[in-house]
Amino acid sequence: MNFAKHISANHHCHFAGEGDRPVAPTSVWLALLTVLFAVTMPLQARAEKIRTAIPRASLNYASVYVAEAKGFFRDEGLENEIIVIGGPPSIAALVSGEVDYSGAGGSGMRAAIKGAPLKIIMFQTDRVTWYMIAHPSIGKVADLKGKRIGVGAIGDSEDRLSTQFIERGGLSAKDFTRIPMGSNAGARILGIQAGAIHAAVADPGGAVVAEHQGLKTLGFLGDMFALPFQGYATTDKKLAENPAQVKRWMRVIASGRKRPPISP
Amino acid sequence: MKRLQLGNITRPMVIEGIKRYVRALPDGVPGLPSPEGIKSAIEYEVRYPLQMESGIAAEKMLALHLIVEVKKELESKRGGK
Repeated sequence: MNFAKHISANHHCHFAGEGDRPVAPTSVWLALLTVLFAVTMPLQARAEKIRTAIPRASLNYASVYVAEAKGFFRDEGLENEIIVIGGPPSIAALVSGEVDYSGAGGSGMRAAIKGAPLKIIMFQTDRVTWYMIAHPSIGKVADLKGKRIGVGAIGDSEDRLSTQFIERGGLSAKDFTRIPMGSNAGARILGIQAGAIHAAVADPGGAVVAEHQGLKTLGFLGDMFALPFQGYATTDKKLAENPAQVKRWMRVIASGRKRPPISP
Repeated sequence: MKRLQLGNITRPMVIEGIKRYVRALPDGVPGLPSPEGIKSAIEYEVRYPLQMESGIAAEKMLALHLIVEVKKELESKRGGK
């Protein structure tokens, strides 16, 4: 098809050389305006849409919410949506392309070593953020002899670190019983209050709530040694095809960490 | 902050929680773990849970080259201020 003739026939436009003053059809003007608008519109209006998955909407991930609310993502040309989904489902969502970045770092590392096409690209902290909380009758770690300790799951990293923390307090792993009870801080606090367990670990927010409800904090597990925590993963495809976006996303996350979300 | 699932928590409690969280942050720009930290992460996040013996290659799981660049860039900006 002759495209010029087609336009002319359908839009009754006139072209130079046909005897009249040239007048472009409406569709051509619209196309030109669209191009002009695309070139001149602000960066944030053309932001790349991304999804960041975080394991839970807790204080540990406040920086992501703050970065979104303060426009840090927009500043980097990103339009971010936060999805709260943890562990292996988060990694499955990443690999299937439903999310762009996943905060399920531990699950991501285990998936990657088994061959999943993804990598951990950064860690939010240098240490675990866990505090050991206990019943008020427990004055020190050694008092946990013969007691029950709540852990996420037997054999997970939290279990191992809790055990090491208690061992450093002078007990051996045989001196106490570990009870698997999931990751919900509220359930742990209730469990301690009800006497089902005597101690457990909690993230910073959970530890503050626990103390507010009369429980005691025995110590900060992060003081034991460096263990990068809150790792973020993305796919090998993203790293290969859009490293610039990955860097912009990292800038938001890394710089957001140094901007306190609330001024005391 | 309203979107965070913090339960029945007051503003001073949130501030206290943030202070405790900050204890886990490194000095300077975060994101890049130390070599010792990487070893610990492999040990606790991979070797123990998967009951692997040894010989776990970090490069199969980690791609930290971009955070190295971002960290340098942010540190130079901060130094220039």
